[in-house]
Amino acid sequence: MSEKPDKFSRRDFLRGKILSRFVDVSTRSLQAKGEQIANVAAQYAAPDHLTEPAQQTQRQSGSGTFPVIRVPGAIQESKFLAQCTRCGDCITACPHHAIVLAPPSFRQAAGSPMINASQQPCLMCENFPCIATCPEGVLQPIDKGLKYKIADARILDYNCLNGTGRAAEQCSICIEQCPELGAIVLDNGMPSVVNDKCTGCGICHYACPAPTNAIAMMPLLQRPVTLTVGNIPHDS
Amino acid sequence: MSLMQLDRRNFLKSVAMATATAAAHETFAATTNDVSLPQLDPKVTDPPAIDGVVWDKAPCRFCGTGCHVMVGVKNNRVVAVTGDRHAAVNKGLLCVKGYHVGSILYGQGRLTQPLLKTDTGYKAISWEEAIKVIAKRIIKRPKTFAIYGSGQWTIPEGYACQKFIKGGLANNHIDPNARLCMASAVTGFIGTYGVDEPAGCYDDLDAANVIITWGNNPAEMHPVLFSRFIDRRSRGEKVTLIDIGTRRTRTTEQADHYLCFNPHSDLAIANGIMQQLIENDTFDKKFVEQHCNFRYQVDPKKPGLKGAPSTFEAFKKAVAEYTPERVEEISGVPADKIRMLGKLFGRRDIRITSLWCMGMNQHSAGTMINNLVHSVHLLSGHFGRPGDAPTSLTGQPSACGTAREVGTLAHALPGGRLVKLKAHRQHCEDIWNLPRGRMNPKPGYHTVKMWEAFCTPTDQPGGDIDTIWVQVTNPGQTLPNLHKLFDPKANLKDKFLIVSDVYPTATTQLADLILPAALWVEKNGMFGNSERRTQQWFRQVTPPGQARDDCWQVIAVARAMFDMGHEGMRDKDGKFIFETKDDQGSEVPIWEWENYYGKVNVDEALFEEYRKFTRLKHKDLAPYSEYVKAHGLRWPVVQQPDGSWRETGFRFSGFDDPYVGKDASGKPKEFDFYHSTTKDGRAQIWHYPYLDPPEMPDATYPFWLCTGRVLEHWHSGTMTRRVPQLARAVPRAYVEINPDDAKAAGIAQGSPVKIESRRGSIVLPARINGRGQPPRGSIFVPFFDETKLINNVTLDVTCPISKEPDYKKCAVSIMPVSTSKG
Amino acid sequence: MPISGLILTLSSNSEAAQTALDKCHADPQVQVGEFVGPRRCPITLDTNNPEEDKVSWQRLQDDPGIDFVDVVCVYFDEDEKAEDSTVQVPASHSGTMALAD
Ligand code: SF4
Ligand code: SF4
Ligand code: SF4
Ligand code: SF4
Repeated sequence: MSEKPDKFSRRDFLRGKILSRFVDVSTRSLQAKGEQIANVAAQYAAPDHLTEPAQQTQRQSGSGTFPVIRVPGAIQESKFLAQCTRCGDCITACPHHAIVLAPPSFRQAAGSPMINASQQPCLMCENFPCIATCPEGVLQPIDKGLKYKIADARILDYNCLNGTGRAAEQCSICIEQCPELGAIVLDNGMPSVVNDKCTGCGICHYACPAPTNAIAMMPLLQRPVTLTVGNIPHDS
Repeated sequence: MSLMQLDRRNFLKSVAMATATAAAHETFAATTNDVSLPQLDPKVTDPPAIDGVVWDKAPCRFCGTGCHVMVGVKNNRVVAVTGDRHAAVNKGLLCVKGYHVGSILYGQGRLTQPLLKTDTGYKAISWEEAIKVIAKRIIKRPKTFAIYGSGQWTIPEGYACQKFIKGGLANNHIDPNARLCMASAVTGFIGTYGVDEPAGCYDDLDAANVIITWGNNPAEMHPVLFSRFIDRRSRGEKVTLIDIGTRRTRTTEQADHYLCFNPHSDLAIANGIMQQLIENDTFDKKFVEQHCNFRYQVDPKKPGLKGAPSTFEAFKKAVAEYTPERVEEISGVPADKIRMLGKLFGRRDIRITSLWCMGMNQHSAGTMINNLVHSVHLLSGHFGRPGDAPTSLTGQPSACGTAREVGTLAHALPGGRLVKLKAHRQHCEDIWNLPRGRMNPKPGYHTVKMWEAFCTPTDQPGGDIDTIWVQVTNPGQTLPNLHKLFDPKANLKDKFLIVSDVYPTATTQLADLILPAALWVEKNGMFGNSERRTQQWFRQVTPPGQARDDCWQVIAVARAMFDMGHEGMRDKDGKFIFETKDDQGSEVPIWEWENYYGKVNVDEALFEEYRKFTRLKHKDLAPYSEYVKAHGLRWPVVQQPDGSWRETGFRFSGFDDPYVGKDASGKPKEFDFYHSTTKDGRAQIWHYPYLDPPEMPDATYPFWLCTGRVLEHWHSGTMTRRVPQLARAVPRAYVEINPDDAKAAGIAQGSPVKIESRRGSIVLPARINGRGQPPRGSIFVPFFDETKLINNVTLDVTCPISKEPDYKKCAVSIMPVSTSKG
Repeated sequence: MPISGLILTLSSNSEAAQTALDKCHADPQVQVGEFVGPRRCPITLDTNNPEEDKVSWQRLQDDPGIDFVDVVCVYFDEDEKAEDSTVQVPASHSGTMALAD
């Protein structure tokens, strides 16, 4: 068994030994997305509080766009912000109360519909009442056999019960509750999200029992993004 | 930095800001205030000094592992909980429940006022009124009153109830929920060693080469202990884990061998190991010759606690039939694996620790399987050296400390004494200063009998319990066969149910009087964990509203009865039985809530009195003040010549236990079972045949049903289901089904399944290939979910000796439920 | 190059809290977000390496005007040097459970 990497030990983490692995995990998806990020970063106006000289920043005075998690089918962000009339129809239509108006702290996104998975994840309803009801077409239906993607789940190893070095158990709540088969896998004792299977529904984030939630929901860099569902060519 | 890089960093920053902002909303919404926590590692760091936050120790409120936490309090509110690195049990480590333990104080719907049921619903009443209602009711009918308590009672709480009912009322109807969880372990220990509770301790887990889990899933139920030995592997040590169970669990995932047996056939497996030890002539002759006797049941169908003397020859003959092939036939475990176990136990060069919990205790032959597993260890000599131990784990935080040691059972008295023994009653009468002969020699009703009597009309035979006071437990959810043992109360007008609890529960639904109780660090307390470790904590916040200590409630009722002239509430000098004096020697009216936390520490006073009981069975406890200083001490705690107090890790072993007798040369013997039932310093090796359980699957009910816990929830979930993180992690009960059975029955993942027994039915969503995986023909259902009472289905047959019900097996059918309305 | 998202809980002593906040505004590593409630404030911390992140985090933690520092997330830029195993990930311990106050 010597060729197998040493079993991940929580104690090691505290000694800093697995730092490299940790960094590795943390950067893995970003590396893959490096190009993408560079391309789409421009989509979001650089928030002025990030570019302004710090001294001039005042409390409550920030501006700039926050990337937020949108409702399934949401079109490209700048268009969405421009065209969504904040009518609230999708909020009424969602049977699970998953859609909320972005609070003021979300700056320019404030008042627009978003999903806050920590309060209620999106259950990816079969018929997407949210999309069906949208009168402005800023929520767009997609073809059968494809899945909506609204975010990327990201395991924060340093918060995960399996990685922090002090929870006694092997936790697997996120894996148990994720509705997408194979979207979270155990990798050397740590959960890890397979990005092209994750729809970003946020159920794992909602369910994670770690003292400090160990799953960050990262807003999408680019929309619309869809996932293809394997082996269901024709849904009758 | 290139512009592109700058943009990317800006984007990352805005994502970080978005995530932090969302999280700030989340925590802000989830809390009524705005204090959050520093990030630190409790294994290496003490809690930080934070302005206004006071830290103090407490054992975790949940399981029998008995981890210590540090509790941070600010403005009379628990604001933080972290593992306590100074505690030997957990060294800073906690399981997920432990991290959230502080939140149990602040769940939705805390009971804050005494509530009396009237024709029009519950009416809020004052404490004075509530206490009077109870006192009057008991005075009117003292013999039909019962207390149903808990392994989650603190030691002083259990002790006060014990004194109140057995010493004051001369009525022995008191039993704890520990009857449902540890009773078979108790009878197993007594039948084998003559005295209750494990000889070994958690240190065994650091020394064992082989650990065997018997129907036990410590990976979920005692995670801190499980990681204690599993983590040894990451330090390069070899620890062999053998899981003997009836379904695959988290524990199995780490096991080197998994032996899946047919429910109940653990009896055959234990016999099989002993057969191998004899056949291979690898049993420990010296140990057996010097330290053991043989014992058996004359009529295995009418067994008794102590059985009858037997001989090695008879033993040999009795186990001879359990050849590996025969055991395979009964248990389904391959003969080779039985041989493997036999070989392991035959080895003198390794240390073997057996662990068990509910799998062996909630067993219709619970006492027998407990005795047999002890016997395996005795016969093979795997006993009494660090790492060589048969050790039962407790479910509840003070099943040992309160139920077993204080003896809050229908037949028991404090310190291992028995109701039926005159000398033992007289000890109590002496210590409690009661008139000679006050105490009742007739044991009270054990749990199942108590509730059966309560659910039978009072004017009918067998209906002679009409008032039950429930404290710190939830029988409306956890009794077996609820349709028989709890629900009938709803239609019996002359029965009166008093419930002291912190939240509304399945039990309060039928309560006539609900009393709001203080919880965990809202009161002073003491627990005793699985390894004989007695732990102490102080009240750190005040309880909400009018919630008050369970112990105070009992003392207040006793005082009301005293004031009404009840003789039993007086000692033989006419003084109140709970009379408590301050340092100056004047009595403090502790029955008045204003004085309960005042000049005297009532917990300390009760504990110091209780301590006098603990010497008889050599379960010596140290003074209260020693526990204040320590993170628990394992009894016997014996004072040293220099005045210090020394705890004991390994009982009956000469190298550690001060009560082991001396040999001719004046040195401590290697082993001494100084409470032997045969009074010769020897332990008992039992033989007992495999007999079929009372209910087995048949054509109508073809499946075995097993029930149990999940890691994230504590027992009936009244506390953990109110902690959002735990409730979200495991929101509802489900039924684990083998994929092949599911397929055969047409049951899909997540689809509703009807589970039916001769007693009742429920519908639950199917869980296939989840964290627990039953073999074909078995299903598993957790019992934490108040909305899905699996105990409507379970069987109320008990072990004939321990009277503990078998929640682990009964016969059921499963059926898919069609969801379409049409 | 770690970027972390933190939540500060400012002290109830408003003078100390204001001083702490002013320091944050003046700190080029720190970006201050929008307050949620009177005392909870999300910030980002942008540093050159984990060591620096740790130092900055510690400085915040030690500030008398700040009661608590919650780490919500840490992102690493992709040109992070992964080889250095001597430094610890800053502020990466979460073994303590925060509760309502
Ligand atoms: S898919 Fe369903 S749950 Fe998700 S936002 Fe739309 S309506 Fe709500
Ligand atoms: S990992 Fe699974 S549960 Fe989590 S967001 Fe993605 S699809 Fe949803
Ligand atoms: S649910 Fe949270 S703590 Fe549990 S494994 Fe997943 S990320 Fe880790
Ligand atoms: S529930 Fe048990 S294992 Fe978990 S922290 Fe509490 S005492 Fe320890």
